[in-house]
Parts: sequence; C-alpha cells; structure tokens
Amino acid sequence: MKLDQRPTETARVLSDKSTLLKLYREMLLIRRFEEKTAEMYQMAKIGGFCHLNIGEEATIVGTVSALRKEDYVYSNYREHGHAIAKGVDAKAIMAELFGKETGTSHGRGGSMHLFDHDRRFFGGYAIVGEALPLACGTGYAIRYQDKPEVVMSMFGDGATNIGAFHESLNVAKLWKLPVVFVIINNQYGMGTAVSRASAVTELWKKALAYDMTGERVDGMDVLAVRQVTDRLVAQARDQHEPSLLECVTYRYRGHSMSDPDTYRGKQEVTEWKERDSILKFGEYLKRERLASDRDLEAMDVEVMAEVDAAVKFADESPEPDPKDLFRDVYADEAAS
Amino acid sequence: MPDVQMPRLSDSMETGKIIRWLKKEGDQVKKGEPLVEIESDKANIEVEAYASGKLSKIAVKEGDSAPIGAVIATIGEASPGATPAAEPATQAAKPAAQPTSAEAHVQRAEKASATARPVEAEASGGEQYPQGAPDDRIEAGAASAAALAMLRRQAPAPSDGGRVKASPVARRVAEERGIDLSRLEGTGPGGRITREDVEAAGQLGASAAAAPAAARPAAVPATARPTEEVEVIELSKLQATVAARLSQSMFSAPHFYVTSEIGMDDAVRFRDMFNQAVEKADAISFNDLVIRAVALALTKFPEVNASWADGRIERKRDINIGIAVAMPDGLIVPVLRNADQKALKDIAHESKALAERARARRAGPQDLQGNTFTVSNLGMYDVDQFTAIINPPDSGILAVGSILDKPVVKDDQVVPAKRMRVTLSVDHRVFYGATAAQFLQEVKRLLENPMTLAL
Amino acid sequence: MPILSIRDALNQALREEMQRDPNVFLLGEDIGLYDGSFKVTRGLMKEFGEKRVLDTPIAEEIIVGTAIGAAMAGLRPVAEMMTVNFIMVAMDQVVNAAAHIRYMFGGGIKVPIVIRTPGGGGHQLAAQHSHSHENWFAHVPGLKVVAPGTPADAKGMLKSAIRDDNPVMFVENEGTYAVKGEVPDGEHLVPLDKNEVKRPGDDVTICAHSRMLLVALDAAKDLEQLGISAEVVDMRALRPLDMAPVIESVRKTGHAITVEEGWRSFGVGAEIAARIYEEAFDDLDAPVARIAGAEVPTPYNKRLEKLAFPAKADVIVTARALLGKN
Repeated sequence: MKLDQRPTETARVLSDKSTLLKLYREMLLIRRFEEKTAEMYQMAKIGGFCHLNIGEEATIVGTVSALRKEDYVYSNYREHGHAIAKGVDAKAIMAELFGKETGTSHGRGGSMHLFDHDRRFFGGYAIVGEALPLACGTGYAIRYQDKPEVVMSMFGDGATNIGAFHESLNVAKLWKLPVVFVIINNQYGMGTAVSRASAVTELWKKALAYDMTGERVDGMDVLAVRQVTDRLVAQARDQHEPSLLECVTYRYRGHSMSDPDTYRGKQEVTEWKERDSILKFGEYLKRERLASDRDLEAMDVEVMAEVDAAVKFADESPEPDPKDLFRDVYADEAAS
Repeated sequence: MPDVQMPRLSDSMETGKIIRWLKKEGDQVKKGEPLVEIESDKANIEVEAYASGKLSKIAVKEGDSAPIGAVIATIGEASPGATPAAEPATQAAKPAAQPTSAEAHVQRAEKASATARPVEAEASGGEQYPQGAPDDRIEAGAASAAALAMLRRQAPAPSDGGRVKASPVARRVAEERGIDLSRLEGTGPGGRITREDVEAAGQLGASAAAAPAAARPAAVPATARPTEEVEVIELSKLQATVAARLSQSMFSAPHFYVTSEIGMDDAVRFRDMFNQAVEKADAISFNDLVIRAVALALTKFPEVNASWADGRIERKRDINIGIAVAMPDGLIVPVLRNADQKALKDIAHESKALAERARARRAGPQDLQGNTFTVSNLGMYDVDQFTAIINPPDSGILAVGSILDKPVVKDDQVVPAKRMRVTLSVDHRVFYGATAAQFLQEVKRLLENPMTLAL
Repeated sequence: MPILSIRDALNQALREEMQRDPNVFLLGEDIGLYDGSFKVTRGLMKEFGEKRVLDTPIAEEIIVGTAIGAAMAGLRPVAEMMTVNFIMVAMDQVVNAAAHIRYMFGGGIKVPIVIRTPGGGGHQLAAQHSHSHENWFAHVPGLKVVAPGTPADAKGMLKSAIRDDNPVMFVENEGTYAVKGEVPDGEHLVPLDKNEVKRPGDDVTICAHSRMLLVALDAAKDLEQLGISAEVVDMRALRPLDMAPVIESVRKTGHAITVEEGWRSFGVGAEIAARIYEEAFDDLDAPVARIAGAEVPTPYNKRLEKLAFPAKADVIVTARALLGKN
C-alpha cells in the first residue's frame, strides 16, 4: 500500500474547513435519510426490498466526494447514499422509494434502481457484479472520446467472487480504462461472512492478479478514504490506470429491512458502532476546532428538515399515470 | 498413390479455391510440408501434405475451385483408375477426361448424394415423401412429425347428432351465405368442413330462395342470386355424400354392364313354403334370397369381391353385402357382414334390422362401412331392369328388377313364368366381361335352384 | 445490382456505418486481427484500427457489458458473440441489463447496442454449438430481435439496427453466410419492424425466418409443381413481431405453417400461431401447423443431426397434410 503519493490535493482537502464540514454534512444526510427510509418502509410507504447504507457513510462520502460532476458512478442495490453523495436530489430519491412519478426513475425502478443522467449517477443494479462490466464500457467510451473523465464502480465484498468482477478487472487493466473499483467491504454478502465466501479475505489482493493498483483503507475513516481515493481517481484520470480500493466498513442494519440479522453477534455490531464514522468525524471536527457541538446540532436539524422535506415531497407527489405503463420500454415509443 | 483431396477447412465450407500450389508437379513432397494454399469460405489456409513422395499430378489448378473431397493432386503413383502419371501431356490437354478430375468427382458426388438421400426418414419415424414429388425421395424428419401427428389426430367428424365439425372460416362463410353446415360433408383433416366445402355447397345451393337474403352480405356474387325459373334445393348432408361418392365412382371407375334374366318360379315357391314353415318373424324376402345367392357366388369368385386401390387390386377376405335402402332424401347402404356364413333367416333378420336403423337415421359407422359388394333392388317399384352405379370401394353392384310374369317357351310350349332381370355393373379395372358373365351365371344357378340357398 | 454473400453484405453494412458514424465501434472475440470466426468482420481492423475494432478476451459477459456501458456513454457498439450458444454466459447482461436499463431507470438513458450472433445448426457441431435462441430474446421486452434470411435484408437490417436507439439482437445463421443474392449499393435500410411476403401464393401461408426462410422458399417451388400455391412470409422482424403480412396472408389462404430451426415448445412458431388464432381465427380452415427443430440437444452424428433440423421435405409433407392432399 502506498498512501503517500499525492500529498498536495489531499492536504488541501484535509485542511479546508468548508470541505470537511461538507463531508460531515453528507454523511449525516445519508444517515438521517436512511433512518427515515427505515421508518417509511415500516409504515409501508416503501415497498419491495430496501437495503440501507447506515454504517457505511464514511466509505461512501470518502470515495464519491473525490469525483467531479462529470465523472460517472455505477452502483449496486444498496445505493441511496451513493446517489446522495453524487449530488442526486434527496427529494427525488425518496420519491423513487415511494414509487412516485417524480422519483429519479419515475417510479419504475424503486430502491434498487436509482438513476440520474445529469449527475452521472449511472444507476443502481440489483444483480451482484453486473454493473462492473458496464463501468468498463463507460471507461472505454471515455478513452474512445478522449475525455478527462473517470468511472467509479461501487460494489460489495460479495461481488468480488463473481466472474464479472474478474472479467472487468482484467479488461480494465488490459485496455487501460479510467475506472476506480470500490469494494464496500461491509463484511457480509447477505448473511455470509467474507471468510466463508472468499478464499482471500483481504480483498484488495485480488487486484494483484491483474497487476493493478490495489489498496485497503479503513472505511470508517472518511478522511483516510478520501485521501486514498483522491490518489486513485487522479491515477485513473491522468494515467488511465484502473485500481481496486477495498474500504473496510460495516452495516449496522441487516442485509435488507427484512433481515432478522441472526448470523452475527450483537457484540460485533456494538463494537463497530463504537467506531461510528459520524461520531468519530464529529469528534475530530470539534477537536480541530472546526465545529462546535452547537454547530453540529444545528447541522443535524437542517439535515432532518431536508429529509422531512423529501418525505413530504414524495408523499405529495403523483403516482405514475397507468396509461404510461409501457412508456420507455423502448427508446422509440412506437416499439413499446 | 495417395490422392490429395480438397480438405474441409471450416464447418460451413462446401468448396475450396486453390490460391497457390507451393510445389510443382514432379517436386518431391515430404509429409507435413506445406503443399497448397486454399481459400475456404472463411480464410486462406496452408494445407500440409499428408504423405511423402513425388507430386505426380496437380488436378486442380490455381484459381480453380473444387468441392470437399475432390482429388486436387496425386502424390506418388496415381491411384488405380487414374491416368498414369507417365502421360502428363495428355492429362493437361484433356482434363475433362480425367476420372480423377474435380468435375468427375462432382458428378460422382452428386450421383452418390442423389441415391443416398432418402433413408433417414425411417429412423425417426419421419415421413417418406409421397410419390409424385418433384424429387420423390427427399426425406422429412422429426421436424414435421409433431405437425403431421397433430393433423392426423384431428378426430373424425361426428356421424350424427354431435356438434358439426367445421373450420372457423367455414363457419364464417356458411353464416354469411346462410348455408346449413349440418348438411355438408367435410373433406378437411378429420372430416372437418372446410371453406372449400362450404363454397362448393354455396355454388350448388346459392340460388335457393333461402330466407336470410337480407342477412346475406353484398359480397355474395351476383351469379349466386335466385332466378325465377328454377327452384334450387340445397343438398342435405346425405345427398351431398351420395352425390360426391357416386360421382367419384362413376367418373373414376370405368363401368360396364352385364344383364341376365333369371327364372324365379322355384324361388317363389320356395319362399312361400319357407315362410309358411317358420314363424312370421323369421319370414324372408326375395331380396334375402338374392343376397344369399350373391354371397355364395362371391365365395367362388374372389376376383369379384375386390376393390381398386390406387393402382392395385385388393381382394377382400370377408364377404360383406351392401344393401341399398331408399331414404326420403336419398340413399343409404347398410352393410350385412359375412353374408356367406349366414343362414337365410339370419340374413332376413339382419337386413331388416339394418334397414330399419338406416331409415331411422340411427345407423352407426359400423353399419355403414366395410361393404365388398352391393345389391340394389327396385323390384317393388315394378321396373323391368336398371343399371346401378358401383358403390365404392366395391367393384360390382347387382341391380335387381321386378319379378314379372312373362310368356316363355318351355318344352316347345309357350307357358307363363316368373322372370327377374338382374344387371351387374362392373369396375372394368378390377375384373372383366367373362368373369362377370360367369359370376352372373352362378347367381342365376343358385336362384333357380333355391334349395341350395337353404343349405 | 451487385451479388454478395450474406457474409459480405454484413461486412459492407458494418464498413458503411463505421464510415458514416465515428461512434460506431465493433467488439468481440477474434473479430480484428483474426478477421472474425466467420469472417464477417474481415478487413475492418486494418481499415479502422484497433480502437474501433476491439479484440476482446473470450469472456462474453464483459463483451456485452462493455458494449452496454459504452452505449450509455454515447457510443454505438456492435458486439459480436461468436455463436449464439456463448451468449448464455452473458445472458444477465443481455436481459437484466441491456433490455431493462431504459425502463428501470425511467427512460433516463438509452442503450443503443447491436449484438450480432450466428445461430443454427447443421454443421456437426453438436449440442453446444447448434442453438437457435431467437425466441428467448424475442420473449424479452426492451430488446428488438431480427433474423434476416437474405443478403439484402442482412445489410439493410444491420444498418438499421446500428442506427436504432435500442438494444438489438441481430441473429445470423452459420448456414447462410455463403448464401448469395442481390444487395443494393450504399444507403440501403430495411426497417426492423416489418415482415414481408417473399413469395406470393394462395393456398397456404408459410412463416419462416433466417435459414428456414430459404428452406421454405425452396419447398414452395416444389409445392407449386404439386399444385399447391404457397405464400412465404419472411419473419425477419421477431420483436416487435410484425404480424400484418401474416394475418393478411392467412385471411387469403386459411392455412398456416410455421418453420423454425429452434425447438418447438414455446418457440417462434408457438407465438405466431397464437397471434394467428387471436387475429384471424375466423379465417382459418385448419389448425396452424408448426415445424421446428427436434427437441433434443443437437446430436453430432451427421444422420441424426439431419433428422433434428427441418428440411424442405418437412415443409412439403406438412403443407400437403394440412391441405388434405396426402
């Protein structure tokens, strides 16, 4: 692991107050958004499967915040926070969870299929590992069109065992694609621990087989995540060198809202919660005198208001018109 | 010795083109050495020699094509049948004459494939293509088996009572034209009434001043409208059947006729005595005597108890006599099975029951199938004689006239006698005049000696 | 008009579209340096370079996924699956991704990819190289599926497919690459949603696509001599399935036969038959007869293999039986 190659940009980020506060606010927004989502799910406002990012905020914000607006993100089905981090409007996300016409996918996708073309949030995919090849394709297009853009492909630890993962790493390196592959290692693929599913438990090592840069970082430490991501994104953008970043993190909730969470000890969950990224980053901000308790509380109130507004918006939004059932099956309406 | 054949260089290749010979005639070739460059449908490929020796002959020159397996060169001595390598000049001059040339090979291959094509079908239970096809030995395989089975599975049309079996378009056209489907005979798979059947009936019956004139769509052609002079009767289903079958018989079987007059005095007396001797229920008719006589005669003339079957003659083991029964709207022919093995009173019982069932329209398919010869009797209508049309698949029908009192010369005296004229119609494809006459003689002999009928 | 093989007609379509639109690029296994397994892409890498004719690893999922991701970022990829059998490996990308992305993202993006792939058997390639799976794809909303049978249609439909904004499954046939016919020069576009009567007739409608179209046309010639006038409808547009010429034809003939190389159950013929029943029931004079590949994993043995695929004779005997002439 070589964490010290691009100190200048990282140094700037780590010393800029407004950037640090923005990172904190985004993590908090994701936390509050997901808590509200759980509540709405239990109120049956949200249907289907619902996978929450609670616990993974530092990983999400630390990685995605390193991207530019024109960079792409491909994600999986645990992606509400990924979309928020990429700048997708929380209102549109909540509306999508509610299945409303105003949702990011006009109520056609739901929790697992958020999408925002303008924000280049290129979607949540519900098949494990499916979006990695797509990220490579977009990376190929970037090279083809000779643009200074980067693709971030975000997926869980479980995806590193599927064929598409290996096919993707292979061609990314082979064709020199500007892709940063981010493993959100939250320790479990559904209920199966990494050690029970992968022959190699240090997942970053899987990059070695492809002679690709591989890194492992504490996914509960937003600054550490951001620091390494900055470097890998720059490497992709400037040198067309892909990389594999393993962020070691934890989800506090079960796999989905319907998961009774019986496969791991309560003690384990408690221990991880003690390392909570928002808690720790808040303490850091206070320690560095960048924010006071009051500042953080005010920010929380503001964030809660934003989440409430999102719920209100979603609640009041119209359902899709039944006559539009067949809209967008094809790009040309005649075919639909 | 070893022939170099056009190799198969791809799964879809059929012919290959010689791009370049890498050796000249007369060169020494080593096994494994590149010999020739060939263009397949996919690529140009260098082909190695499979044998060592002198390249004695190149049969397909650069730029020419040959099918897979064609001999393109010979290494070493030419194979038997090939022109000896010692005469290269002749070979070059007359390539067409080379038995090993590509063309010859093509011809051989074509011939082989033409004769080898067919057999496959049987293995899968597939269908052999029926005769008359442009290529009469092409095969059909498993691919069409299900479709053919489906078509064969079409259940037979109900003979009575049940829902009329007609195709959707036949129903539609029938409704448009006001045609009663129950009166039609279907010719489609499983006896289904087809559009063609309805249209044929429509043309026959279109001018009936049938009721639903208003309902009839304008699409019905003007020629189909009623005229004042002619009353057109639509055929009942029975009539349509009779019409179709008899037309087919008349126009496909070449008929000829043989008439004979039979002395019936003894038969009349025999019948009187017989009927007086038995219960009324066991009484016999003249027709029963005729049926018995015909059945016994047929045992001696198997060539008459036969059918024309698509270019062959089928002789029937059973003797089943069809008995023409008049119906208000036509004619029906119930079948008395194994008549030669039945006693007179059984024939009487059975023929009566058959006729009753037929008149009541309760005759089942069993009652109406399997005839091998038919008797048609118009005796009760006071006719001298008549000729009948053969009832398929029979090859003979006996038309029986009335028993008439006639003056005959007997022992130089003119005396009254009971005479009956019968006419045998014959399918000339199945048997001929002399047989017909002899058969008739036997019928006559039996009826004129009625005790033989009681045996 | 120039006479071209289907292989060359496809090659011409690719070349013309690559010349016309710099966003069109090709990717697949051995399509570049090797010139393509079936030589459809012959010479294109030499002409357009390695960026636009991308040789990939033998890894079907990444091929299709790369095509999708590139299309989402504005390119027009044409992916070659060396044979349709291999696409099983990439089925997730084809169905879950390519076909569904537009709808599940609320119309927020389009996926203009073409997946070219030859299917069909008859070359002794046995169970894993002889499939015809167009019905699998035609089942999926979001995909367009075409299967041309003539060189002119091969060119015209491939050009249209490349310009189409949807994922298009372009099904070719190994057995017809060498089939030759007239092909218009230059701009020749055939719509992806129009089927066509390829031979007019009065007595029976034969629906067939791809190689079976040629079999049907061949059979129709023989049937003519047998006094049966067959109308052959080319079912080149499978999804959306253009039934108009079929229905019009069945209204005239009252009899229909479907011919396909794939298996019968849940096949193309099953769908066509159902549509005929729905739209032309009252015009039918007999049930629709389906001719299809035997329901076995394709056998290697030449004789067994031959039995497993529909041939001219199957069409002829079926037509005769259907018309009550056997």
